Amino acid sequence: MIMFDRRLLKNFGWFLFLLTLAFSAISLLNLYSASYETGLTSFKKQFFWIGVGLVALIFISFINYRLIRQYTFYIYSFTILLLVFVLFFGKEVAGSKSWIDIASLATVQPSELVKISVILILAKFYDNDYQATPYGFLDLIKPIIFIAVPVVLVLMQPDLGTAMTILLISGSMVLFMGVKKWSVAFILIVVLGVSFYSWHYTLKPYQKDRIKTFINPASDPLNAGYNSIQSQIAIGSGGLAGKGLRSGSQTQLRFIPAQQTDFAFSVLAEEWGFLGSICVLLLYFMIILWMLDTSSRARDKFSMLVCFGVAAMFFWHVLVNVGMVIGILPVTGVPLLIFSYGGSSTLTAMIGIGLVLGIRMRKFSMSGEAIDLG
Amino acid sequence: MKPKRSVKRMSLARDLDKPRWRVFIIAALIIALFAMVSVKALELQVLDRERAFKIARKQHHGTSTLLPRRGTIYDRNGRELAINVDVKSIYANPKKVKDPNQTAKLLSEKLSLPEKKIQKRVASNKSFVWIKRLADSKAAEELQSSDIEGLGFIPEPKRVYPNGSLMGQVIGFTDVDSIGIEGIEYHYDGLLIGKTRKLTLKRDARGHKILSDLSEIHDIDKDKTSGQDIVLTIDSQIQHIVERQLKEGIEEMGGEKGMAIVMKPETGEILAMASYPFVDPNDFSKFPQQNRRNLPIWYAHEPGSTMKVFLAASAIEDKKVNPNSKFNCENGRRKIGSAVIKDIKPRGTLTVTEIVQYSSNIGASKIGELMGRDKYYTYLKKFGFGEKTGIGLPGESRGQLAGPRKWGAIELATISFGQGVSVTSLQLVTALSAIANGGYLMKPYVIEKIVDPEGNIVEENKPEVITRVISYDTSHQMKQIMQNVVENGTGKKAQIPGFSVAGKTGTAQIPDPKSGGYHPDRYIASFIGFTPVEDPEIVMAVVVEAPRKKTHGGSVAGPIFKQIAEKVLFHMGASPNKELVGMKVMPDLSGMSVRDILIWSETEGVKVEVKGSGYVANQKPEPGDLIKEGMVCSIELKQKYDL
Repeated sequence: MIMFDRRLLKNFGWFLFLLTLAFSAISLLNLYSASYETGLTSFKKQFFWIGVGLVALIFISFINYRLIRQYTFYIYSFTILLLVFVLFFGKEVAGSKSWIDIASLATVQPSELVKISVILILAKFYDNDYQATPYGFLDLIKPIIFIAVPVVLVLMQPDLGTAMTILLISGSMVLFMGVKKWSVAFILIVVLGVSFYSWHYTLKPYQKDRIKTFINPASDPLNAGYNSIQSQIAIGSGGLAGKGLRSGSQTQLRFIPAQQTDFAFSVLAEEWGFLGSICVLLLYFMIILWMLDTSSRARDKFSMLVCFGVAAMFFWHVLVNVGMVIGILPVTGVPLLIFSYGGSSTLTAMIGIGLVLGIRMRKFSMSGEAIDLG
Repeated sequence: MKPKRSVKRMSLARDLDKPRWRVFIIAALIIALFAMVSVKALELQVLDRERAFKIARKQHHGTSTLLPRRGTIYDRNGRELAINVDVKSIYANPKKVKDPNQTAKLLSEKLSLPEKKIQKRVASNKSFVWIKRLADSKAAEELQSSDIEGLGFIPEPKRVYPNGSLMGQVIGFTDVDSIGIEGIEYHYDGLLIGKTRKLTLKRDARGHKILSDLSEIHDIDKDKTSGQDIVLTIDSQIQHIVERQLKEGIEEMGGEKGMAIVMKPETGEILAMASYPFVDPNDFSKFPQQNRRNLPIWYAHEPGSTMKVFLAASAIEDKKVNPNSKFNCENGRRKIGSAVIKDIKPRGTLTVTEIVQYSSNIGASKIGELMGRDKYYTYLKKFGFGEKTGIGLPGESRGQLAGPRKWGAIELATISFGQGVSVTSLQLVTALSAIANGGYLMKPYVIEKIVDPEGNIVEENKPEVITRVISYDTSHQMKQIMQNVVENGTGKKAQIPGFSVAGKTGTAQIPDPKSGGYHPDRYIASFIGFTPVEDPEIVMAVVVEAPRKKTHGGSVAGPIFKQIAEKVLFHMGASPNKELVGMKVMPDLSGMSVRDILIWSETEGVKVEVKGSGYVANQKPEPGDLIKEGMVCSIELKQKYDL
């Protein structure tokens, strides 16, 4: 099962691993500052979760991904069951039933973990039903069901942001594998129709407000637009070099909304300035590129697509979160992976990195075949 | 779900249909989106930085106002009347207080404050609360040395009046926030208070003030900028004399309250202004509310016989009478319409001088009738009655002087001897100054100058002539009439050895608003006068309300006038009459007529050389210079003159 080949260690993706460690350190430092005034509870919890995540990362990277492919459907089914479970027995926080309380020790958010399952199941689908020409709508019925089930379950919690990220990640994978033009048009029409329907019948007023104030945050500075404006003030007052650790007045005086979770990046931007935030963005950029590079060198479609999916997951999280924090995208409640305080999203990110690392370690053919670098 | 084995190696670039452009599109998309985010971040953090910075600073800072550093109030000789003393104010940062109950208990014991109130503050979820502004210094020191966590101390200026109750009603006082609420402190609050001193505090998203660093506060208080200083015309030494003698006199006579005011007749400067009973501005809340009134300017009362001075002056100036004009005083009883006017002692025919000397009401009523109501009213107005003087203090009354159309025969008679009209003591001394200084109505003032913290004079009051009421001639005749009152008439008790004194007594009944008539046994005893008669240094009014032992103005207020004037003259260094021989001071003659000049030169024994006609324009020697033996004063007159 787990191959303790010496070449595994030799081929271990030290670069990505070290990037991850560095990233965890920066994240903890930032959370230390963001939660200092409130007693460091979220800093301590995140410390724990990063530890758990790193263990999971190493563990997963040493499992042969072929074994994972074999059990993909069970993994997927398990997380879907969790999503169903959460709808009935979940813990409600801020209007969404998204959390499972594990013996009051920790809370887990299955909607985060399900992202990995969707990536895996799509990768497996394309691995099995590979075709060289673009896929038509009928070819895609299976993956559409795989995507739709978790998306609908997450929307029922309701958690618009997470549902949207699942769609973005899986949509990227589907588009990457190719879709017929007419099918794209058809899906677009369906999506628009669903959006129209949900705007009028299913979206909660607070979700509508979020979208509305996205268009003009200044229109409602005290309520819906408050988050966006305060975040922009924090980022703007950080300037080029920032105010320094624990010196961001906007952070320390707790003007930034959800500064330990969704808006952790504005804490960074205030205290470390433009330079600090660009550095962190570049770190993400490097992680994503490294994953795409691994994807391009993958030995089979499954591993190629898993790497591509994890890269897409990182990419969309960074884009949607940072876009929200700096005010070019609506406030949707999508965390910045690893960086935002949150056990499940951190664990999910670590598992994703673990998968990519495991694939990277095994990219060199066991049978000694030459590697084509294209 | 058995995995199919894929043997074909693949890569993003090779295996797909149109591989190249797809890779490019993915790369381009990623780079474009990252670039978009970066550009926005650049815009926010580098290009548009100031805007966010300003908003942040605004919402992160709250303020707490510190007590102002008020300007000092000085008397005319530079003695401090109102100053600031730094006293500690105690505040707390409840977040750092370890044991709120224990701390609250200790604080309430030391500072004698209600424990519950303190506990509520100490246990609040704020980070800055005042415990006690301007705390007792001993308690503050004890608390500071016991080093309780979460407590802080800021020195704040406390208003202190070093002379206690001295002229308390004139200076006034401030409230707990150091805002002037009475007297000069109130009237000139805007100038005294200076710039607002603020303590800058951080403020969190819930609006709570946060104090992270205690040292910040003490830096702020290094700014010692204060408000503007005020220099008064009052001489605290004279004020002291006036207050002591007034109190002594009133207590001796068993009076309820009283007032005295001293003015320099040549300039209108107020040298002293006293109201009894006193109030100590350091502790004003312990005194009854009515003590706070500055009586000489606020209390309008019926003047009684002192009014006859202004009646006589008006009639002489109007050439209706001269000091020797005779009037039949009807043996003490005269009927006017339905009313009967009485004199205390029945007398037959009296001259104007005697009418004032014996204070005959009947004689006065006849002089009033001779002048007529319109003329008499016009003169009273010219003397300043029925109008505020504009002394520049709060709460001044105008008194009551009805228009002449409302005067019937009875009103004309009573107003002639000072009933049915009310005046303030300030109006009395201002009008009397015009008689004493040769006819000029001076605008009274109590503020000499206002000086800013850099020492520049912001505002300065100079003697100001409002109008000329009577001629030098009339003034001179009135002086003699009034000197006669003190030497031979009702005012004998105001005589001062070595100095000539002119004056007039007044005894008025107090109106009873309940019955509409007068209280049968309550009087206002007054004395107005000046000294020395030849060249008056001071003009004074003394008023005592409801004295019990004696009621007559001459017996109640006269001795007080004497006691005050004697000591004030000595304080001012005035030499008694006999030594003045051969040493005369040149008066300011400008604007006087030839007739005035000639009378002056005759009475003073000064030789003059007059040129031109009209009114005095130039004189030599200058006003205030000594006239030496055998010197000839040259005086130039011009037809037109401007004051």
